[in-house]
Amino acid sequence: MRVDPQYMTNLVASLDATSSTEETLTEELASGSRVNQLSDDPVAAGENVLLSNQIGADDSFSQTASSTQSMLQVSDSALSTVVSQLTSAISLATEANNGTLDASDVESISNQLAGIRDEVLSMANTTYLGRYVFSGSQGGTEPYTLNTSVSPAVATYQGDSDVEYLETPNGQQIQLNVPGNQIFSAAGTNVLGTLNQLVADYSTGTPSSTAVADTEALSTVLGYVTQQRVLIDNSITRLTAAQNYTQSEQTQLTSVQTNLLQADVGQIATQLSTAETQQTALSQVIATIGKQSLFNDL
Amino acid sequence: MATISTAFDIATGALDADQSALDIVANNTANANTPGYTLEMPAWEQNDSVSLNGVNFGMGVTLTGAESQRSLVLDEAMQQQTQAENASSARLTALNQMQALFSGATSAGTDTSASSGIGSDLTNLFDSLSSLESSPADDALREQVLSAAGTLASDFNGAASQLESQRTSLDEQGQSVVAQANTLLTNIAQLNLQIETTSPNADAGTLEDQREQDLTELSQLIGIRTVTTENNGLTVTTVGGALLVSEGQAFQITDGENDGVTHYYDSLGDDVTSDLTSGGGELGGILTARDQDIPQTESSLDQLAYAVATQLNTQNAAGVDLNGNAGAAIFSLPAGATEADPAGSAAGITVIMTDPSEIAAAGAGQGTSDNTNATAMANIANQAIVNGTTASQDYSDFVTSLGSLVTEVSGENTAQNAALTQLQNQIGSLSGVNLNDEAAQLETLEQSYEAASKLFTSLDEVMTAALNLGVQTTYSS
Repeated sequence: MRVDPQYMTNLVASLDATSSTEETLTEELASGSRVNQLSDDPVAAGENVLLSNQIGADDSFSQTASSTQSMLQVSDSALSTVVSQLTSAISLATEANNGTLDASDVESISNQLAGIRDEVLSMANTTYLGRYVFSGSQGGTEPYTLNTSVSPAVATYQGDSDVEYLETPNGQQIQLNVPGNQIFSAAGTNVLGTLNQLVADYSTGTPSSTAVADTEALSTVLGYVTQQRVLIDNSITRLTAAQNYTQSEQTQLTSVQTNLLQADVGQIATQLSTAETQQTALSQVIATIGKQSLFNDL
Repeated sequence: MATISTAFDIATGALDADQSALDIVANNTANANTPGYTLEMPAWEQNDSVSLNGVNFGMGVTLTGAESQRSLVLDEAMQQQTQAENASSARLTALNQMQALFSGATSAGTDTSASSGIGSDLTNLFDSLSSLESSPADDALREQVLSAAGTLASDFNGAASQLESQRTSLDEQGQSVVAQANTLLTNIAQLNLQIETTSPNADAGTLEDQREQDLTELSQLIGIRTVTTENNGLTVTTVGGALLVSEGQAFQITDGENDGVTHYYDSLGDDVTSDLTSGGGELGGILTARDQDIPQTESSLDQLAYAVATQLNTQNAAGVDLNGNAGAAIFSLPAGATEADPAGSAAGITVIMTDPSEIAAAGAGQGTSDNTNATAMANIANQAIVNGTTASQDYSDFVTSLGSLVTEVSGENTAQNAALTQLQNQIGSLSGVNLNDEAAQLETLEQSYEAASKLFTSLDEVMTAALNLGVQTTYSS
């Protein structure tokens, strides 16, 4: 059979094809990524969108968790101060109740208790980055105001009972706050109310008849505040765990993504060298064939 | 009885024939690289023999002409394959441009730059909302939500406008292709006329070559079917049967604007756009990309943009903002866009909220540090809001299907290319000029020309001998 005399054109077309292969391989080597266009691996490109989404969510949660941690720490240390203040309030009250102090000492205890009450009040009005942490969802409103014009003084709660939650990327809900009326002015365990009561009890220089009962109430209140503090501590622990989890998930996903997109350098180098060999062979064939013609022998 | 002068005639005829054959070889060699040239072979014919007194004498050879080595079957197969190959090649070029718009989907990591595409824009938007959960009143975090929303909207706008400008440029390319095709139609009609007058019954040689070449070029441009008619004429129609060339008459394709794009009409004024789209050729590929691939991509983006914007707007309206008011719309969509027909959403989506305090992070009736509505908005990321799936999953599906389409068309094109090369080889092996063959033929003809000349010398001696009637010296030649 007669062969196509234009086979030279075909050889050159093959040469073009190997050049284009070399170009693609070089691009993969240069970028280090085997997927540079959607069509290089459509499924990998689609998966990458989802992986990037998940990694982004994890990354952003890690950052959110860090600032949330700080807010919870602030709440926790405020409650820790309250606990220690209440402890000293109990010992002061107990001292006043044992009947060995004179009137001026009792009065001074009343003043000290008023100081403790003010300290507790200021802890209840703690802010983090301008946000009152114990006022429920009313972060812009000071939770407690104190009216000292009456005796006993009255602390009024102005926040609400809203509990906020932070959702982790896996849908887990972590409590962000304990509303002030659940810690400082809950019915039956009213911290500020009890303190105000005690201040009034000793203000005359003689402990009033309710002083002992109020001191006992203060112990109950202390236990209650400690319990509420546990809620915050729990959140800190859960948040740390969630943060660790998302960080390790992020590392995991990043390595999956790298595997998905990364060019296999060894494989590409081999393919490149094969393409080069082929190209050299083709060039030589073209050069050799180009010299042969019967016309040379006529 | 045969005479010596008959032998002279035979030798002369042989010399003439050899000379003509040499012409043909020279012409083949000269046209070895001419596109569309078909190899010509000398057609030798033995002259009728003469019977004298019951004895048959051969009367030499005549060259009846040059025969083009052509196969109409292969030529037609080649035209069809050319149409298919050019269609997928033009479509592939358009698709490659299109997928480049979304190549951000292949970049790794959590690149927050705008170039990494709609996928990461969606991630950033929902992440900014979930960041807002931890401190809903924080202005910086609120600002971030608006800026993420703005980036998403502008990336939607950018992709939509680039798709639209690709569509416009394809439309213009289509027009120029049709203009070229119309010129070729005129050429073919003229060649038809010439062939019908000069060579109604046999292969028309170079004229035929030209017509075949024009048909090949036309096949690169548009999808056609050809029918050979009487007197070696040729009728050209579109694949759907609209007449383009009949005998010596060319029927031009005209164009006109319809629904924002160019439509094409045949000589009867019928719309042949869909006929040309499915027909093949470069125009077929261009029109497929213009009327099918780009609108499909646009509509996927429209759906996604519409769903994200309406869901977030609705959820924002359900909460209260930092000022205690019910949430206003974050995004604005073009008027008339609906869930069933979100056309124009990607091109028209904008962020109309300018004051970050208007983001309704708090649930209805709650204070400024409430985050229930911000959580609800962030959770839209995990809800099936478009095509029965989440926004990210939808974009991921979109990217995969676009990439797969490119791969599919690319594979189709490679296969068609291989088939086309195969056909070119077959046609080349039949109709191509092989210089070695020509060299061999030249050598053969040279020898037979020499032999015929030698015959003269010998006949001359024979004639001298006959004139002298055996006396050696009386007359010499």
